[in-house]
Amino acid sequence: MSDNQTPLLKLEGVCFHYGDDPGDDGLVLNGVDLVVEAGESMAIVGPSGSGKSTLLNIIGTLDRPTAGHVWLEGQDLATLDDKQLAAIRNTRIGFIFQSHHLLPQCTVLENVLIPTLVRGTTPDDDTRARRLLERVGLSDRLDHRPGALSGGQRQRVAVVRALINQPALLLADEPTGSLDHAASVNLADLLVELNREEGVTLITVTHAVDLAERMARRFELRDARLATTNA
Amino acid sequence: MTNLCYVKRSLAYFWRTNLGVTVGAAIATAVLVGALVVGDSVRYSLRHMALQRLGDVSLAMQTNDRYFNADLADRVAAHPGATAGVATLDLTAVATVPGAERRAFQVHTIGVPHAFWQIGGEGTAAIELGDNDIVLNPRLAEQLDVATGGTVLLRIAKPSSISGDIPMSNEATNTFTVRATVKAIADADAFGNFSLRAEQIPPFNAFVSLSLLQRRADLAGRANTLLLPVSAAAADGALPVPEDASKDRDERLAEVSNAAVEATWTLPDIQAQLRELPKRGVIDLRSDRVFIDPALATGAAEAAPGGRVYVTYFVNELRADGGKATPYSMVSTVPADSDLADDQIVITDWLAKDLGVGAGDKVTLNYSVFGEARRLKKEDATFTVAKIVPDEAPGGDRDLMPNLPGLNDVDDLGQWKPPADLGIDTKKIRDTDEKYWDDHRGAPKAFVTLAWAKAHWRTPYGVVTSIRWPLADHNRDDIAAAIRKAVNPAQLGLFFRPVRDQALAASGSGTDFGGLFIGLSFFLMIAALLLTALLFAFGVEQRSAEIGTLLAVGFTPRRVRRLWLLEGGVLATIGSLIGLGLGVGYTKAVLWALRTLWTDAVAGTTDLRYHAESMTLIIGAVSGVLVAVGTMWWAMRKQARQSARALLSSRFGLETAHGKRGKRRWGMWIGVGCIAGAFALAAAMSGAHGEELAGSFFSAGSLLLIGGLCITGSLLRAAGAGTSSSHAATAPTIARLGWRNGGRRSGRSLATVSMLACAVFLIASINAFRQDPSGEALERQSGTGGFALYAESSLPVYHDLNTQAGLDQFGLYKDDVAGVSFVSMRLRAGDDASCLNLNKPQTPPLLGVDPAQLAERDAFAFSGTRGDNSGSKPWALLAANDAQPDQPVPAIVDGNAATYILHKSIGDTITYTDEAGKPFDVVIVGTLTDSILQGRLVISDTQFKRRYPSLSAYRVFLIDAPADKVAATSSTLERALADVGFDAMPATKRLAMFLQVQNTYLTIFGVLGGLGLVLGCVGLGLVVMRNVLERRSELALMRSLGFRGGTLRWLVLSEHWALLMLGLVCGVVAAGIAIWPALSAPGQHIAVTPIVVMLGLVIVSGVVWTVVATIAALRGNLVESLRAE
Repeated sequence: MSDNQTPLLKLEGVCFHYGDDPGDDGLVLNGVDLVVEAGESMAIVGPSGSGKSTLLNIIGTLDRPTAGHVWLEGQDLATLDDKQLAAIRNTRIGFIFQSHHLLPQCTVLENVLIPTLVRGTTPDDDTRARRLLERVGLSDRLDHRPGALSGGQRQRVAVVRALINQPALLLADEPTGSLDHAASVNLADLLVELNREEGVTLITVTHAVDLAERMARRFELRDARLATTNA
Repeated sequence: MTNLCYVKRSLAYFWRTNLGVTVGAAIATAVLVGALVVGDSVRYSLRHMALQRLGDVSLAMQTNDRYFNADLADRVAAHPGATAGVATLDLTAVATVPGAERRAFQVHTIGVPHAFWQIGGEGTAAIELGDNDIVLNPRLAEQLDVATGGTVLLRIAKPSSISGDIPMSNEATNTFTVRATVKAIADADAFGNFSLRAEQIPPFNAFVSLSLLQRRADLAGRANTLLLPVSAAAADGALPVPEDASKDRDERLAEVSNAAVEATWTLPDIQAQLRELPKRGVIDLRSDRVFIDPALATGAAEAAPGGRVYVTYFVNELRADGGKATPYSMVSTVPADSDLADDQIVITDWLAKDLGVGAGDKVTLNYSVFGEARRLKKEDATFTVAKIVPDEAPGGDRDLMPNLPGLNDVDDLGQWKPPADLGIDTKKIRDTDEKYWDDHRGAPKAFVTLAWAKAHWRTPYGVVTSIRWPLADHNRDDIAAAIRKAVNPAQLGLFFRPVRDQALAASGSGTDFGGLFIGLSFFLMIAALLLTALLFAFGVEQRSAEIGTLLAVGFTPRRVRRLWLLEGGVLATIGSLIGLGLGVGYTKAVLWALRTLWTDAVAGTTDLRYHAESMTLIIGAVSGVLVAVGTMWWAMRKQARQSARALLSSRFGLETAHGKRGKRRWGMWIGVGCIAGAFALAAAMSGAHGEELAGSFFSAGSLLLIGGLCITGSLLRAAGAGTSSSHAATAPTIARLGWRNGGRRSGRSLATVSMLACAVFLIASINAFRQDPSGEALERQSGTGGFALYAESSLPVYHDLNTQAGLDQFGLYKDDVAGVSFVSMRLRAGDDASCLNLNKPQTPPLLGVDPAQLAERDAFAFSGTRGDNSGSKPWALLAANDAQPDQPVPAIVDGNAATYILHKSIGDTITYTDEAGKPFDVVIVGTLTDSILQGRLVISDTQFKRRYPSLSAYRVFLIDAPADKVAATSSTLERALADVGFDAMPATKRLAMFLQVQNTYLTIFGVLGGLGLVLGCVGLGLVVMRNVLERRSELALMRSLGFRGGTLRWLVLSEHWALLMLGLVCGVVAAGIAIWPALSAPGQHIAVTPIVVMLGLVIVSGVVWTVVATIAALRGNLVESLRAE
């Protein structure tokens, strides 16, 4: 947990390029700096291929930067091995993808509890899962398979799955990208409310202006650099 | 939520894919379990056969040509802890049916008492045998084509107390005939296959009444085999020997029984006699076998004080310097402590007068020593007369003359009919000699020193003819007791062997059919595992996003792998359990095939029974699970290395191959290099022969295959990268597009091509090792040794058939056998050590041969020799220790038999027991390549006679004959030597008999491999389906562009048929090189039909599966796929 002096997340000079050649062709991120305090909500926007998802993957420890540093709760992620990074993803970070990536073979409740398998599911986990699912209006869908749900419902299950281990940071990659307008609005409401109620820091990458505007801070990724757009 | 819950959900949801994985694991397990259970079944069947042939017999004493008193059985039985045994007389015969052509050689004629049938095991009915009755076992009845009530003639070797090699025995009387009516055919359950040999093929058995056989063989009251069943005491564990954890029941029973023999044996049991000769004032020990066994002679001489050793010898002539000569006399020895010198002689009054000599005069002895095959070598020795003694003076009496058959009993020397080989000219016998015979019988006329006699008159059978003790100092019983105490009867052949233990050990440790069938089913198993791997990998690919999700939510890759392997483990376990059931069916199918189609692989053993040990099933099932899980781990190792980001991407696994130009070029150059190397190797080794040639071309074929696959891989990568000039320069066609698609997943395509090519290559090229003996039949350096015929005789042949005397013996003229020569060999029987015996032989038969005869012909090809003799005459190695009796006996053996049957190599030893019960080591000094001598160990004749002097005659013959007279020579010899059961066959036929086993294994490998290949084609179908499903939206796009359904199907099929044909072409061309020597050599006949059938099956199967898969994958509305995209 961060103390009063330590931001929840800090990026300093983060660079990333694809392939072996660090030339301009493969450069996606070029010296990105960012500081995010606990409980904040922020949106990153930008054109397709600008590197938004890459930045999110680096923050979410799915990728490592080719240069620069990332600190989560004061811990330099570069100093951690894969096993420690997996533990951080499991306990401190929650992911929401554009495609919900629910396991088709598991029920709604089981999908939510999947992250708890890493340390062993407890009765408290089960209680929390049910409470959160009730919170998102899916208490009557606990035993349904993802195939029996609408797109909006699936995405809400994915949100609950991301929150099951009470993460400090929630990362959402185009969370409304595959939803219709009504479902998108509902999901945006849900994310904002959860940010407020659960105190979880929310970073969302999106094309959707409506969703971006619901966030407290907004940034744009353009030409491999991050710039604030709040003004 | 638990891991198990997750696994259960996954298993149920992805049941289609999982079903395929389970089926693959089930087939692999079935093949593995089946192979192991075939091993169990063969072992069980051999054990069953071993127990059937032994009945209740636990121990056996076999004295071969020594005949003990049959009441030894009763004496042993009276000993505490021992059991009542059954004494039998076992002689070898040739069996015929009067008026019929059929005959059987090597017939075990067993004289049995009524009690014999009581030790035949549970359910054996006693058969009362009268003098005219005979009982046959089914094999002999079938060979003679005779049934109950039929008449059988047996010609049997008449036992002689004197070795047939000694010319004093009269070979003409050495056979007799028994004519009897078949009373019953006793099958295996009725103890009819009784045998003490560890062989699964029953011998030819003929049972007759013991008393009849004893009478006809002039062996009243005698036997040469004593069989002991397990005693009640032994069964209860109440043996009077201490419990010893290192010894089993039968070993302890053997100890008790051998102790019983030591306590109860008598001199008549070893054909020796202890007589009181009051007139001479001595107790006299002598042997019915003329010479006292060395072990007995040594022991007896030291048993009681005052014993005097005599050597009494028959000499041809005693000659004085003046020319006077006395023919055919006995000469004996003076006491060892006498002051006579070795060049001095003592003569009787009679001889002094007859020769006209006195003390100080010279007398020359002319005597014969025993040479090979009843040949005598005459030698002279001159002595100075030291003393003249009265006729039949004390210590020089007529009782010193040994018991020479045909001479001792004649009243008149004129009645004596000496054997022709002795070279006696009866015309030389004068009236004065007749008078001496009338007055003094065979009393010695002269005496030399014991040392000189032992040095010059020693024979392989001993030298001492008599030992005497003064009657005044001893009585006969005391001397007998002292001898029994001093001599170990085991040294004279009186000892029990734990035959039951040995039989069970042999049945359990022979050819490992479990391992063999794992090898033979290798491709089937690999194909099933590849199918498992393929389906599991497809399942993993299908669920790659799921893996990405798990990684994203905090699972480590290791944990994901474990979770998936748990899922795979459940599938493997289910598959394995199904495979157990299938495995039982597979075993039964294989056993059926072994009993019918592949009977040569088990040497004609048709009594194979299904049997599975529970531990084997457990091992098979667990191995099936482990192998399947291992395969799955291997299959998912690629996905496990991917990052979560890549796995979450929907485009994972659909990237086009981007083979680097450098890598493609390397592949091409390596390919070209391999192909050039293959042709260079083939050209360089085209002059080689036999296995060297086959091995070289197999290597060349392998190189060609590797080269072909390298080039294929390079072309596929080029097609995938779209850089081929042909693609760039010409307009695309459907076929070209198909080829390019094949390159998109170049790894998967190359794997498909490689699997097909390797399988086709191996299954086809393995035929290169199929051997046909007719090709090099007449070459000395071949498996026949260049000999035209191989023959065995049931009864001994004492003469050298290369000599006129030998031919005369069988009424043959020189013209009958013009251009024919023989290499004759002595035989010490044992457990067959050829591939025709599925048991592990304990002591293989020994052949005694004159190494020079094989060396001068440079016969047989050697696969290895000890030391650096490979370049010289390896047969000379046999004679290396001829002069050193204490050193191991060098032996040469067939290489395959050494490796696979005896599990021995050059330098290893096998321990035998010689005729005197003394163990000796035989060391392997050379191995032959695929020879007709398979199954036996060849040692030098000198060593053979030293160890087995009684087995003196020839029994095995290698025969050179003119190429155009082989058949005529064979029938001439068989006719002339019919009385000794001379059985000749072309050497190539005997070699083919052995090679047929190997060839049948190759057939089995081909059939099971072919099945594996067909299964591999199912895998090809799956690859097709997977490829199409992955590209469904792309195909939908083409459909929307106006391509017809048939065109799209052709697009898919052309891609995969190209892979199928590439695999076949690579495999067939490479195999063609590998089997070229076998195809082109004269006389070689490769079975092309099975290869063509197999290839046809592969093509048909491949086409069918790709068509089915294409139709299945392209059905439905493709355009929907595009919308989904």
